[in-house]
Amino acid sequence: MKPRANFPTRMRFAVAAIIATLLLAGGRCDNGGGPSDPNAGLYHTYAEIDNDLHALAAAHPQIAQVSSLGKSVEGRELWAIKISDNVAQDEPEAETVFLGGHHAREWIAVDVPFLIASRLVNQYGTDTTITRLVNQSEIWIVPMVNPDGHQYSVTTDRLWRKNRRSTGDGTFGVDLNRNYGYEWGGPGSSGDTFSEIYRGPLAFSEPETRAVRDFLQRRQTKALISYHNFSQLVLYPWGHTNNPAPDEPLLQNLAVAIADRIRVVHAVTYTPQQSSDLYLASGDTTDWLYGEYRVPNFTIELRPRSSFPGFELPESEITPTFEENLPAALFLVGWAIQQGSPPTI
Amino acid sequence: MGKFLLLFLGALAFGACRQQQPAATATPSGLRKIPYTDSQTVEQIRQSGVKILVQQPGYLIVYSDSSSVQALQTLSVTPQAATEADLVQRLARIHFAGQEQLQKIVDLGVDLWDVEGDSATVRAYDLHLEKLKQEGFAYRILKMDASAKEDK
Repeated sequence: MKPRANFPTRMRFAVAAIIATLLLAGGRCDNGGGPSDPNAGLYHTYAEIDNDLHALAAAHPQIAQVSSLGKSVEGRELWAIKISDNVAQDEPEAETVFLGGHHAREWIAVDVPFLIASRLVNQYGTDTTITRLVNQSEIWIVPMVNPDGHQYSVTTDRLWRKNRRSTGDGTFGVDLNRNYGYEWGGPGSSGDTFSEIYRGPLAFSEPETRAVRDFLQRRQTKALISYHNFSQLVLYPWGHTNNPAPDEPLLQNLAVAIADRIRVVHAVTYTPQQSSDLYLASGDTTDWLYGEYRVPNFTIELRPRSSFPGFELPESEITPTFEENLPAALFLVGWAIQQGSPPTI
Repeated sequence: MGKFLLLFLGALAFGACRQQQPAATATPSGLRKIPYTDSQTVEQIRQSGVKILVQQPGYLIVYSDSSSVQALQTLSVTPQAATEADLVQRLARIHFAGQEQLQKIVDLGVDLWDVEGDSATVRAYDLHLEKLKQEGFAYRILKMDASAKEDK
């Protein structure tokens, strides 16, 4: 007996083709919705971060492990890579965290933490300093905290800053670095939904900031750097007030040490200063982590120095920007190790 | 039956793709685009108290709430849905004197790019620039559309 005699073979092929189209269309849309893959040149796109982080971990499973901190507004994963010996175990070692890409248009702030991860993993066992730091600590790197915004910056609006939350009034986006919950709503943030520094309707209203918050609350972080660009600055808390932080001398010394290590590589100057020295800004990552848990942490504003070229840093500067920031990152990991047992947060 | 199934699956594929697009150009509830042909209309809208976010040749983007919707109804204008592409921002350099003035600029909600000496480079809506002017700040527009490549 012929099976399904009233459904010709030709038709079955056609249906299979349509289903295949459906599946392909789903995958394509999940990757940005454009007619072709988003292309950021030598800078990493979301899909490339996803692919390359997993490839790093797959090639070095003993020291690198990728996990997701959660999902963005549009459902993209917030990928994190953990780098440590015995990576599958939670060892009582000092933890240092590197975050990148809170702001969509700051592409270099994604590539620098990614390249740090890549260097740590690839030079483990070869470079004695890197091997020691990886053995003695747990290093977490989250290169793209705002994948939706980054994708939008690649495909649609190069200067997009915020995430892609629909605010419901025709505007889009919350500034993730004004959405953290320490002194949220203070100066240097805006309640206007159309503003580029819109802080959101309430602290931690966004899944991206909640994911970072929940992750850091589970960890025992000793130090953190959040990469941004531009201006070439090393900023330490506070940002919401001109008052000095309780540990101001320590924070200042660490910021100076970081800036010194950056400068020796390519003689490029990053200025260390309290975040509020130029103007007040509230609701950022560093004020929250320091305010809630007294964890020394820094915002590094990467190259360039000024508005031209501003966010559109030429691709030729990706490698030197990474190179000058690597020793500073390693320094902070080493400093975290020296602090002994991590505090419980 | 076969043709129907093909059409159904095709529509499903199209719908699945469309659902995942960012709603970049969805009809907004607060933003309105108002085409205009003469400056008198612009002045009428301005005097009605409606918040003009952007003034481009040929159209305004206003931020309407319930009171401004009423004001617009009394004028002979036809508000339309605005898209994100309509939200043009200027790149401007603003002069200031001291940290207090700089903080005033920041707290308006502009997109501050950098500070050099006594001037700040910002990306701002016309609404912001109008407020800055009212506050006595001097500024110079560097690019009428901060996102435009050709002005660089």
